[in-house]
Amino acid sequence: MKTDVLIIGKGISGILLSVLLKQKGINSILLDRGHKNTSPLSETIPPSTLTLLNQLDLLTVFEETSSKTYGYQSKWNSVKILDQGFFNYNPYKYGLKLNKQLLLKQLEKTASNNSITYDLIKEIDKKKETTFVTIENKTKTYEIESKIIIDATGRKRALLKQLGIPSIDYDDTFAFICYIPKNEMHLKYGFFTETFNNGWGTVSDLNETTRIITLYISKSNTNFNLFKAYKNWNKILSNTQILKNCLPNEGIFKVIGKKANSSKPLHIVGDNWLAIGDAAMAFDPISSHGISNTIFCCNKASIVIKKYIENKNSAILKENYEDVLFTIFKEYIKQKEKLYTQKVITI
Amino acid sequence: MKLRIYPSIGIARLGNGPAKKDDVVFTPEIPWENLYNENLEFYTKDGALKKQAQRFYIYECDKNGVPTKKLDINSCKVEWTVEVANKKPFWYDFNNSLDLSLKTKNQNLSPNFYKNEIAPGISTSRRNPNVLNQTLINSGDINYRKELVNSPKAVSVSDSNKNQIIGGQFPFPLENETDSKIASAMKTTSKDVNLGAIEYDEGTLIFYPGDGVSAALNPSDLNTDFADNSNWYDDICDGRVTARVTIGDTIYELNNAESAAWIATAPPDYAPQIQPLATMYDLVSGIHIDSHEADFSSIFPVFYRLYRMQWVNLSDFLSPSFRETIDQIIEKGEFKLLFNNSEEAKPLREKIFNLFRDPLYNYNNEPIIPSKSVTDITNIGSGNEEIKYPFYPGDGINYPGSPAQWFAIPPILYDELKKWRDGNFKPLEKDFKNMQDTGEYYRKQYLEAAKDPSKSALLMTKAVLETLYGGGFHPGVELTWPMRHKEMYKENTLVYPEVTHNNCLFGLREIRINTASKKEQSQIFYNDFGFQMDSDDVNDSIKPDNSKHWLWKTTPGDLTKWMGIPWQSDAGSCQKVFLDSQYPIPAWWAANLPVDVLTEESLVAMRNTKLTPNTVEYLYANRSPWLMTTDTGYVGYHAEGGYLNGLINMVYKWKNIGVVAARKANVDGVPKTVYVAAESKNVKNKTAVFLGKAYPNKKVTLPPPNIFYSNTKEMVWIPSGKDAYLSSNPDGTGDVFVDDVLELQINGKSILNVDFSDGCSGKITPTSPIEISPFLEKYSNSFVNIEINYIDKCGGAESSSKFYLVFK
Repeated sequence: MKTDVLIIGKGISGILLSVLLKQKGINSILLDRGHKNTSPLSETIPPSTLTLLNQLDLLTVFEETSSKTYGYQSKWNSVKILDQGFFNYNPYKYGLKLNKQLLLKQLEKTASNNSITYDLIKEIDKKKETTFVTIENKTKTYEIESKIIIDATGRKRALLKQLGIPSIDYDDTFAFICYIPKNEMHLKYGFFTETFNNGWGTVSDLNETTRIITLYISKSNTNFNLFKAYKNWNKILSNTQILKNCLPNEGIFKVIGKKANSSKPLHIVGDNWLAIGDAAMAFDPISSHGISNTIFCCNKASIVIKKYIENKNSAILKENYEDVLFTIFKEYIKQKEKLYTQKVITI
Repeated sequence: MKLRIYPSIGIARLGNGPAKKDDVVFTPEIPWENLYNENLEFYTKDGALKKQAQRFYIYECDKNGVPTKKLDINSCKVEWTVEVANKKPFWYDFNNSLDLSLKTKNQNLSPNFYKNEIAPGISTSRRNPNVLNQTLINSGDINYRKELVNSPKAVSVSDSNKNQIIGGQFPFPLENETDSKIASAMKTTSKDVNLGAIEYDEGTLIFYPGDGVSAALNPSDLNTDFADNSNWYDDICDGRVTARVTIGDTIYELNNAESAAWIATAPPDYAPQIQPLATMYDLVSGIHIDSHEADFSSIFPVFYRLYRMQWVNLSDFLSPSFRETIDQIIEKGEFKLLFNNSEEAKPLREKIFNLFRDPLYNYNNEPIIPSKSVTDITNIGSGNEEIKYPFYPGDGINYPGSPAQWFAIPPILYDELKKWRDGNFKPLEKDFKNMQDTGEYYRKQYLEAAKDPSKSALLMTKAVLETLYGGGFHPGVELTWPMRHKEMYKENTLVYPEVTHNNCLFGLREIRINTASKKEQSQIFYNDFGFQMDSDDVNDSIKPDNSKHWLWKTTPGDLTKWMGIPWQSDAGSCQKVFLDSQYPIPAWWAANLPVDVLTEESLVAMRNTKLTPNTVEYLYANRSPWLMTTDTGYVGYHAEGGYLNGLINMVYKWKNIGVVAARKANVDGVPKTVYVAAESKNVKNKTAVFLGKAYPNKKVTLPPPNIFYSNTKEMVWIPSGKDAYLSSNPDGTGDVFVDDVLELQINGKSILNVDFSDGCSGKITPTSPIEISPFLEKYSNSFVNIEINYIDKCGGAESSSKFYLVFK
């Protein structure tokens, strides 16, 4: 098999890149590991990202698969509640709360229709201008020839691992996610962030009956283990104003743990490979702009891939992609540090 | 054996709740029965305003037609038939009551109306005047005005066919036509306007009113008038209730004026436990005032009703007010003097008597109710006589300066008051200390009388008529001025002079509407007086040999045709009537359409034990306008307030406004039972999950079976202890359908498959909301993923309603 671009990973970044490449007339193949964590997280994108989506001709599909959100509130190590409404943002006075499964399903319809489910990447054979990737699934072995291969495997960084590119962690933030039924506590915008003694948390309305509470804490915190059991949450959140009141009066709910630290690989481009999305840089969720970064990053990647295919010069991958993204990452880490120093985390 | 239907006149009241006997309120069958019940709910669990349904029974009667006992239903077969119509768009505009220039011996009307022309009837013209006879336009001979009468065919129910909807239309296509000519001319089609539903329930008949839907054929036509709006329709109606009873080999047809009953629908009663000041029963009794010895029971009701108006009208609560007068008497320990005929008590009786306005209207210097018309030449403020009770406007409201601008209690009540003043009444030998104890005593008399099967039937009719307003008629709330004339009735006779021994309470009467026979109906059903109608037409019609006498032969639609259209306009506008003084401010029919109310939220606030007694008093005295939300447009900014806005908003807000109901106060320093307004928004325990959109009707493009729409909801919490429904509205109401099949999956497993096509019959039958609680039981207290699929099974077309999953 032969294609221009081989994308490993069929999450939001992989599919999005495939869509953007197709718009540019570049064909791609999507490799899909199949089993995915399908729990909805109700990610949001802010009004500023909608302008970019509009430019990319993707606004309609995003809007059709999400609900509007008009702001958020937070109480960040302060007695005051900060109210961030989107009403004075132009031209879009709202953000979007995504139904990610539905979005992926819709995006897929416009993405490359070459998608292969695989179990194992057996071999990556990099030649000067072409790469041969051999993959296997239960029934078949494929050899795919492409001009460039993409790591879109999220925090797993499957391709990068295979290529021996190390990851650098900037912190050890961990997320504990819990779905709870809504109670009589109403949230103005359906989203609230609040700090507490050992960390911080968010509550986000998922649908008419359900909301998600996510608590973030450093893995090295001595109280870390307490967070694993819902029965401790009442105590953990006892000093909060909003979060504790969102916990239902009765019932025990399942807590799901998930890595949520900031990290990036040493490099996100190479001779004829490139990493996108969380594989390129994963953010501590404090940025709350994970999907926005993916959209930005896929757009940049699609442009640079087009140039690369046209003039076969791998230097532009670094100049036009890695350097840009790393600058952003550095800026983000700076901002994060500032927020965290505002917050006194007692350990 | 003689059989008759009771009550002989029934009333059902509109509500947007379901037509199900477990979820409606029934019209009381015993007068005063419901006055103090603190547990009545007038909104359904969904927050819909309950319909008020009327139940009808068949009674065995003696040879004089006096009911003796309920017919034993096990010994016979009963088929009930109901024929109703809505003639409002066909009839005339309302200017004022057209009997005000009538020369008649009717004791309900002061002779001054005729003699001194204190408020003459104003001629009126047709509603929808542009709809004409075809002869006037072309040469054809079609009466298009007939289309303005929503007159569905009679429907029947029996043991084998228990439920029927009375499906009407507006405009109503002419006989043998499928389409309305009026609608076609307007490039639209007739609207379905159901006038109600009936149910056979163990031998009795339940009549359910319509849903309260009003609209204009042309959606941009706003209802800017309080009573007359062309192009508009509503689902009020009235008509005959007949029965066929088979006992052994004998068939009894209860279908004539003597044996059949009449049903009329009316707007909701928003204060069902507060009685109108003057009732329709007073008027019907007052057509001929039979001389009888008065006892306190014929005086107390008017006092009691006026006293209880404090719950719905500020001018009856503050001071001066009748409440204040009575409470002062109670405070002085003189309450007993009210029912004492001694000379000692005379000054008090005299004082109270003088508070009331004389229905003869032999004076003309009460404050003027100004008109907004520029031709109002009266000097505001020149009416300087002290204002009398009650503080309500009357039939002569159109004539500033006329004494009849003010409502006077009907002569029959005033005459009793006179006897009372003079000590010519049987005293009440009791030791009651206040109004409440006395009220409870008389309520007991009614309950006692109802145990007598021969009285229970007549009590039903009385219970109905006691809930209806007996004036002022402008045009009124439920029924209007024709009801005060003897010509309306086939029978109006006093059967029992006393309800119980020594408690007359104006006795019990047999009252039957003077209905047209089927044959007469076929001749007069579409009669009117041409382009205009005036007082002379009514004057002529009173004479039995005059060609206009048909006016008094009642056919379906004739009782309600005089009322405002849509009914919401009048209901929303008849509130306070401002004078040049600030107190008291008169108001219209506050016992049905409250004016100032104590809200449920105030009551909750009063229960706060940390408040000082003063603050509790302030909260108690703080009454809010009943139409808080409608007359200002909506909750939120008040930029759109005003009269017209009130009319317009009432068309859709009527079902959410507070209903004043008795509640236990649990607060020191205020009456034990208070009457508070609770709104539909107070019903809150409901969650709606959007499942699927309404899919527009499209031609099928893919071969069946095919899923043409699918939606997934992830992590939906299924609560325990709640009922779950699929409905098309988020409040749990609204029929649902898919052309053809609905499939619902929980966590990938199909739990529900509903085929609406009836085996590809070509017809899709929507159903009322589907209860799915049993299918969800095993998922309760957990998060599930729900997938909804609309499936085309039969080809042709595909479409669907919206789908919500509602927990309540």
